[in-house]
Amino acid sequence: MSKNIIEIDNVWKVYQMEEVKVEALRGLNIKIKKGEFVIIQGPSGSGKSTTFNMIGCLDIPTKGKILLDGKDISKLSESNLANIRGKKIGFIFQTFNLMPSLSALENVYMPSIFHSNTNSETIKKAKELLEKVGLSHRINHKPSELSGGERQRVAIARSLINDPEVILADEPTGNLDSKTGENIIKILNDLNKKDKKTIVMVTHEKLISARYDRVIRIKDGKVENE
Amino acid sequence: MLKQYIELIGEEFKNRKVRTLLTTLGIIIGISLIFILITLGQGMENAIEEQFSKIGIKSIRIVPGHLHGPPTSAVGFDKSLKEKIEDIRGVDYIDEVLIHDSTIGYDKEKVVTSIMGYNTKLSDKAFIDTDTKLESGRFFRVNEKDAILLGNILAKESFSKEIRTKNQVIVENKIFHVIGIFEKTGTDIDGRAYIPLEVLREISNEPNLVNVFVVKIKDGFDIEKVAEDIRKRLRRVFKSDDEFQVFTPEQLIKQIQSILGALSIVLVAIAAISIFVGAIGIMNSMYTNVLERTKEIGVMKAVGARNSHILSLFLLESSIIGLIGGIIGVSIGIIISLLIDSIIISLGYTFIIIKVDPELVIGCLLFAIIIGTISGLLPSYRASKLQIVDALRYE
Repeated sequence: MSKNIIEIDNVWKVYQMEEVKVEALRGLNIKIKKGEFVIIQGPSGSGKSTTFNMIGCLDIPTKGKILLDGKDISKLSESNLANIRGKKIGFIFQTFNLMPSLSALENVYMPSIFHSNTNSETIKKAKELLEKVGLSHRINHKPSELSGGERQRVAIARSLINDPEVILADEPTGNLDSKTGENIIKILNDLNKKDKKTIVMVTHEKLISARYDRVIRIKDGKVENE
Repeated sequence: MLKQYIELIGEEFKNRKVRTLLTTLGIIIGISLIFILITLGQGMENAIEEQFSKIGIKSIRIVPGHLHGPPTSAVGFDKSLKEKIEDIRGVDYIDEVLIHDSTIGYDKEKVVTSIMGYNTKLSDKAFIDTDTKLESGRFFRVNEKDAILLGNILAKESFSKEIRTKNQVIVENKIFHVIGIFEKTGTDIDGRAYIPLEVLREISNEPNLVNVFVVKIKDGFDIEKVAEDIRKRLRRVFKSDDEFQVFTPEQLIKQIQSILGALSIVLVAIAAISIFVGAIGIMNSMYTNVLERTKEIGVMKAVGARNSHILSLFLLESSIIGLIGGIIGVSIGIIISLLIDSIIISLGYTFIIIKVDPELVIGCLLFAIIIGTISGLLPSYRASKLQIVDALRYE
């Protein structure tokens, strides 16, 4: 059996809003194995976005442990967390979150500016990634000149530039029509099956053609069932 | 890394050219003002120093006590004062200057001017010692009577018809032969006329008045020491310090420099205000920038940018805004300074000698960068501290 790449161990996240304490996560336990394709589902307010933030090292838990590749990240400093985000995790967002002033190519290699040195190798790799997602003819276009599906494909290429182990996708098809959405899911399926990437996808959509391994349902800040 | 940062910032600038330019406006105005002021100030000092080297470092001027400007015909001393200081060690000779305001008539026209008396016993000595040169003609001969020397502008521009050497002019109903015309100097000599001192005493009916004594010092004597000896002697003669002033060229330079200095302080203060306003402009623009790009900052952090990366990215951006303002400001400053220089030269003056100082250029650019960086400190710090989760959610 392959080892766990992500382990969320009794994690609590409490937000202090003025006088009220909001418990977004209440003892969450999730284990995800290397190479798995996992879907996290739940109604809004269930804590699935917070779960996404925890796995993505975008936020730290109030209580509990998060192990990424066996390493506890819940107590790491800001700069160490940034390093982990840059090297181990690739993000895909519902709203694409591309840099509007940069071209598709520049968007793809942008993460490398903060980590490795951007050089001709990186740029070559960025071009290959764009080719992989079928955008080799659009590399110099700005996001505003691309369709929604094309933008999401640029975002997928960007998530792969530092060769991460985990790809975290937050409603990646939420802003796309169903046919374009299918295409995106197909790319994610390929990344999982061919490139052996671990994929964690947060979504509330029922009909997905994803060839996933598991669905984790979250409700009231806890795992409801698997 | 720096190269990629600059590329990132460059893409941002391309998207908001007008705003970036407007943001730098305060810095542009401030830097160009400072540049022009310092260049002109230095230009004036250059010119003053050159003028004084012309006047001759080896002479002392004695003027009446209450005079606060150039010597005039209105105040002066009795000529007997000369004998009382002549014997002081180090004094070569003493030239008595008499100034008389009158008119010069030529070809049915009359022009008001200052006429100076020249002691013809000195032959051309006093002119040579002050480096006064003729464009045409000759200086006075000993005991010459009806001869006149004219300043360059007086001869060439004051009358509708140009006066030349060997022409005749009329001063107080007497005919004078123009024996020479001075070179153009850019000083008040250009508008003056010189006639023999004894003749001027008769004309002006001032047999004993001397407006200024110019004391020429012998080589090898310390001019400040001789000036002090003259002061001591004059104190005994006048029994008071208020009746006379003794100037050495160095003191004059210092006096003018202190006036210029005070003037520059005021002007630099104006420039400083402009820079301050410019800095606030940059700060404001950077805050807007951070706000507008909150989501982008979130994205950059999500894909692995540290707080320090964001901080340096934004600081670099504001320092580049400063640098752009500095480059444009200095360029405008150079153009305007050279323009002023060419206007002054074309008007025939030399009271400013403009030189573009490379140290000043570099200094202004560095200053602009520093201002840009300081203005960006707070906004950049705020950008770096944004919470990723909040930033990503920002619309």
